[in-house]
Amino acid sequence: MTPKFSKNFTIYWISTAITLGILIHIFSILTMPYFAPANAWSRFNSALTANHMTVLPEPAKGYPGILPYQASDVRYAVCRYNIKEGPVLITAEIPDDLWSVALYTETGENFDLIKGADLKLNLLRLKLFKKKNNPGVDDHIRRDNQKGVLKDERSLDVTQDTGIIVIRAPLASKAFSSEAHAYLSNATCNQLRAEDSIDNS
Amino acid sequence: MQYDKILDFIKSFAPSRHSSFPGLLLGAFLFILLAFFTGFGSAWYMIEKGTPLTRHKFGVWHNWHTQGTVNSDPYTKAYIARSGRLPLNAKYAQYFKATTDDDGNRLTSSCSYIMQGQPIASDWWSIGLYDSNSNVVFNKAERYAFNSKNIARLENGGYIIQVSPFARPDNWLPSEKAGKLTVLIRVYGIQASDDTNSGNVISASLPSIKRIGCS
Repeated sequence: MTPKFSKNFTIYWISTAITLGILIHIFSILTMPYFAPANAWSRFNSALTANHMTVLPEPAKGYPGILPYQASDVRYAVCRYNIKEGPVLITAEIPDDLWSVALYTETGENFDLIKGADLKLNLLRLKLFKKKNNPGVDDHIRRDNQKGVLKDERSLDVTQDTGIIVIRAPLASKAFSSEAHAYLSNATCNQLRAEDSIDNS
Repeated sequence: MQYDKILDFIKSFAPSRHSSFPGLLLGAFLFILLAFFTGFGSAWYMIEKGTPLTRHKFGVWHNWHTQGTVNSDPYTKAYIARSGRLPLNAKYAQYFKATTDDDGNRLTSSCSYIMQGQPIASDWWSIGLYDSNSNVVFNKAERYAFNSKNIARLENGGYIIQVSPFARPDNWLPSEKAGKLTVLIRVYGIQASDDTNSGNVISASLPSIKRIGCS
């Protein structure tokens, strides 16, 4: 390093570089949820069909699982929903208080959680839609959610068109695996057709 | 006047018109290096290591205590995105991860460990063993985790889990030849006595991890 250079590379440039570094830091942290190449959305986006419930195989040799740290004593059913073309209806039998239905944004935020213990009849019917795409739907939501007290029917106004639904079935032991698999296999995640109004679905 | 003095002061640090080309080139290189190191290096550190504000530490156990929530901080959100996990809302579930034993040594399949703990006040908890790729450690015995429903208990309600490549009685998690190991505890339905969901209530019941020997 020459004396002339050391004179030039001064506090001014160092502080500018650090300021730029702070901006890079903020930018990379804030954009990470959207651009992380191996985030959960990217994994499911390539592996799962939209608006279709899929039971994830249990981790086995040769199939380590889609998600990192996937639990070996929890069975999962996953749906990558998309309500751009219309509302989506999720139905599932939730036979145990420990089971849960979790709704996630693309960035992995669990914005809603329905626990088995919250359900009265263990038969969940959950409608996802966007209020701005369904004007005047407030009455239906109110009606559905009032019915939900008895029938476990719910309507949820979601803010984003796409997201992930995960049904989790914690197992007491491996013996319950096939039973849980059977329940999860019967769960559905379907886009409602145009003729299926919010009211009739 | 004050403004001019400040301007002169700043100008005094600017590169001189007599700067040599190699000097400027080296300066530009160091400028970019410093900016990238500060930016990406600090971002990596905050996501990998966290701070006491984002990641709690209870002995060997680490816990990003707001993971999964909509209101979690940007560092936790970045950590979750990078990890590829989909954790349940922190108000309902918490996750604790350990990669070292009580003495601070990296957990590895060439050593055997004893984990001893008390039941965690919750609806359900599970302790699972993973390799360095975040996959369960595959083994012929198909033992990957023990949970609150199937773990063999001691008389006082506590439990002992042995992590070892060699067969052990009772609660044995085979570590095979997996190399570096991670133990993950997932706790569903936390029965916390406060509303912080910080894990403080259950931290006392998290197990210790003692190394008992290496091959």
